[in-house]
Amino acid sequence: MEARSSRQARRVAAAIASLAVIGMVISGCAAGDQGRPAASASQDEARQAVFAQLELRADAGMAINVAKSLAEFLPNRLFSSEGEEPAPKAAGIVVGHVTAVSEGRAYVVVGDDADSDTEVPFDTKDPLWQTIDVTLEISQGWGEFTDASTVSFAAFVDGSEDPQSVMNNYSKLGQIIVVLGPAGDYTYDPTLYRVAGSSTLIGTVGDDGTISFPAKRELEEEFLHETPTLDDLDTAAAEDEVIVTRE
Amino acid sequence: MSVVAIVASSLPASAPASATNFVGQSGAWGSCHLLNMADNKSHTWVNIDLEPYYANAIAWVRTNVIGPTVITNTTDTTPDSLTDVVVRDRYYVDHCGFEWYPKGENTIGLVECDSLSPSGRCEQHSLRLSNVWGDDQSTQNRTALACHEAGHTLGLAHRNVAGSCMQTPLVTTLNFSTHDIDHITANYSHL
Repeated sequence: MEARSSRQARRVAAAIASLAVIGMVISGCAAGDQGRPAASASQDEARQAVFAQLELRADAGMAINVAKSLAEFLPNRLFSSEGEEPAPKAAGIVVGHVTAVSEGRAYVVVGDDADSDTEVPFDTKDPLWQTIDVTLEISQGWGEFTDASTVSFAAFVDGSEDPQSVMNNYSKLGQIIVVLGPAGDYTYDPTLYRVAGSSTLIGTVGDDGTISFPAKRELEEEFLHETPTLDDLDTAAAEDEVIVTRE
Repeated sequence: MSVVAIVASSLPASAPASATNFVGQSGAWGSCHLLNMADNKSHTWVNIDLEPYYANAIAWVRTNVIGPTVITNTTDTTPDSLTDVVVRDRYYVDHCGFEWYPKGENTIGLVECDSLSPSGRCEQHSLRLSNVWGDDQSTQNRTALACHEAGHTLGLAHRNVAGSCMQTPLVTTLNFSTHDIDHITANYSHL
């Protein structure tokens, strides 16, 4: 009971925070409507909330194939192991602005535990996790997205978060960069892409093209060492193919 | 096409490290990924139908890694919502939306804080281990994973410094570092 009431309290707090953010947006919209200015207070808060969750997600367990650098996800970096055909690590990388955010699905564990989580309607009470569907207007893309103008992907929402608040935050992220794994993971919409890195590889792009992945924390510098800006990423994408073989 | 063959480690870089690598009383709990220190230093453990190889790995870690610290640990013969650590293993595919081995970044273990005590510390941690990965691994690798995840149940985070099983990527070290143990001592002795 203590756990359930705590969870409800957290959701109420998140909803209040969300309303506060909305209020700030309304009061500050005159300045925000002039082109695409530097990060506003509401954008800063939205980014802080989103990346805090991604950071927690990145630090909860052990994964053994985490990319050391963003460049590893470019289409000219191919990886193979145990005789497999070399293939890119991701469908591609996209840069752009969020134009739409909508409810996806919720997921629960049926029974005591299960190999796979079960998809249920988005508004199911006390889900383990949820997805929200994010549509991006692409300003620059690599891999499958070189000529694409929009792309939709599923973003992760922890069951402890208020999904409406998360949706609101995603709509205010400004220019972002996202590494996308293959489409097809989400049966409710097979065209949706998943965010690579177990849904954590979302970053920001400054007005000068500087890339940032705040959730990478101490590893961000190494992750972006080769490609700190969009220009660097574009240059790296134009290099000859490299095949990396893992033993 | 120019092809350059590079031989990489079979256990390449992993998740981020924390400068202090202790999350403390974060008040965080939730469904899938929220780290928080435990709410007491007398830990009760229960294994839920573990494969013998993981049961052995967990037992070894409880005795040889956690045992020497200020944390006492016992097996809970009557597990309930107050049991401190619940260990599970499955052929996880997409639990919590993670890219479980052999997909994507190859998640092989995960710790979640399932409920909070009134103190804001974690009442119960779930520790999940991948059988897809574990079935083909050495005893040392499985034990190293158990050591790593056991550290998360105490609030230890990743740290990219040699000499600890909390290091990432997965290493064959089967102990906490002095740095890790200092965190545990400082944060649990008074509980």
